[in-house]
Amino acid sequence: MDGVRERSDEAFAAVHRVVASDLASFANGMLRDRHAAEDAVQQAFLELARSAGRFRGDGRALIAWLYRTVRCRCLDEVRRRRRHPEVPVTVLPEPVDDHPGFDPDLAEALGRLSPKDRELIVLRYVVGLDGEEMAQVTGRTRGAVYAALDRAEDRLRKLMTEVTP
Amino acid sequence: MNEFEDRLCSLRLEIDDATRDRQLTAIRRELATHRRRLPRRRLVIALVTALMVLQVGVVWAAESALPGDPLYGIKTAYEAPRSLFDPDIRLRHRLEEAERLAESAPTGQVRTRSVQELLDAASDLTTPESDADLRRRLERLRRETATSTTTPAEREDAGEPPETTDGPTRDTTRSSTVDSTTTTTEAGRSTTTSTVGTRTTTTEGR
Repeated sequence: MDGVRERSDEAFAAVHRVVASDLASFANGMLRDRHAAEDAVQQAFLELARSAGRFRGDGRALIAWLYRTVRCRCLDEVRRRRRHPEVPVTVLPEPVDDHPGFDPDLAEALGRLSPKDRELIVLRYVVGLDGEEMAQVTGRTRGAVYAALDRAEDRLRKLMTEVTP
Repeated sequence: MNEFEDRLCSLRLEIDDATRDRQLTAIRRELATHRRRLPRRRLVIALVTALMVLQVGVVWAAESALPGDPLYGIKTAYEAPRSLFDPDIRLRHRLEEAERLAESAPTGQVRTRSVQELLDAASDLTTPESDADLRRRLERLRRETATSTTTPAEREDAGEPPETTDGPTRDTTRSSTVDSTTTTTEAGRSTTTSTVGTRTTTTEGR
C-alpha cells in the first residue's frame, strides 16, 4: 500500500496483475462489451494514479475502491446508452465453439436485467465476491445485498424462460 | 452449486498481455506526471510556510521598536488589526515607548519633548473604557515627566531636592534663570548648552 501511495510503477503493476481481469469481468458483465469493459478498468487505474497520495486504507479497501470506480463508470455508460440507444453489442469473451461453457441465452437474459440486479449477479457469480465484499462495492449492508441478490436470481430465472426457445 | 455459477463463469474476461501492456504504459505515464507535480506543490507549501513564519518573526521583533527604529513602522502598521482583539494596544505601546525613553535618556529638552509627544498621543488614545492600570501608569509618568522638565531652580523654589544627572559631567554651572537651553543627543551622549545673559555653559551627560 505504501508503494501505491508513493505512486510506484511496480506497486501499480502488481495490483493490476491481481485484480484487473476480475474488474474487467465485472465490467463486461455489466456492459457486455469487451472494449468498453477494458476501458472502464483502465480509467479506474488512471483515477487511482491521480489520487493515490490521498488514499487511506488497506489492500481490501483499495480493491473495493477499484470495483466502486469501475461500477460508477459502467452505470454511467448504461445511462448514456439509454439516452442514446444503439444496437447493443454483445462481444463474446471468446469464440463460442472454443468456449464450452458459454451460454448465449443466459447472457441475453442477463442483459435484460436492470443494472442493479445485473451487477449483483455478476459480482457474485462471475467475479466471485462474497457478501461483505459486495456490500463494500455497492454501498449496501450485507443483509440488503443478499436479499437483493435473491430477487435478482428470481428475475433472471424468469427471463431465462423467456429467452430460451 | 448454484444453477448460475457454472454457466455465468463463462463470462469471465481475462486481460491479454497486449492489453495489459497498453494499460500499464498509460498508467505509468499518469504516475510520472503526478510524481513530477509533487515536489513543486511541496515547495510552494514550504515557501508559504516560511513567509508566514518570517512575517510572525518580524512582527514579534517590531514589538520592542521605538520611534526612529527601522521596524517602528511595522509595529504601528499592525496596531490596527490587533486593536480588534486588544482595543488598548496603541495606548499600551505609546505608554511603553514613553516609559522606555524616559528611563534611557538623560534629563534634557529633547528627551522630554520626545516623551511628551508620546504621552500626548497616549492621552489622546485614553478613553473611559481604557485599562485602569494603563491610565494609572500614564498619569504617573506624566507627573514624573513634568517634574523633570522644570529647572533645578524652579524645583528648589518648589522645595524639591536638587537634581543629579547620570554619567560623567564635564562642567556644570548653576544659575537662577535660564534664557535658553539647547540639547543635542549623539550616540547616546547629550550635550546641553544653557545661556544666561552673556554666559554660556555646556553640560555633557549620558
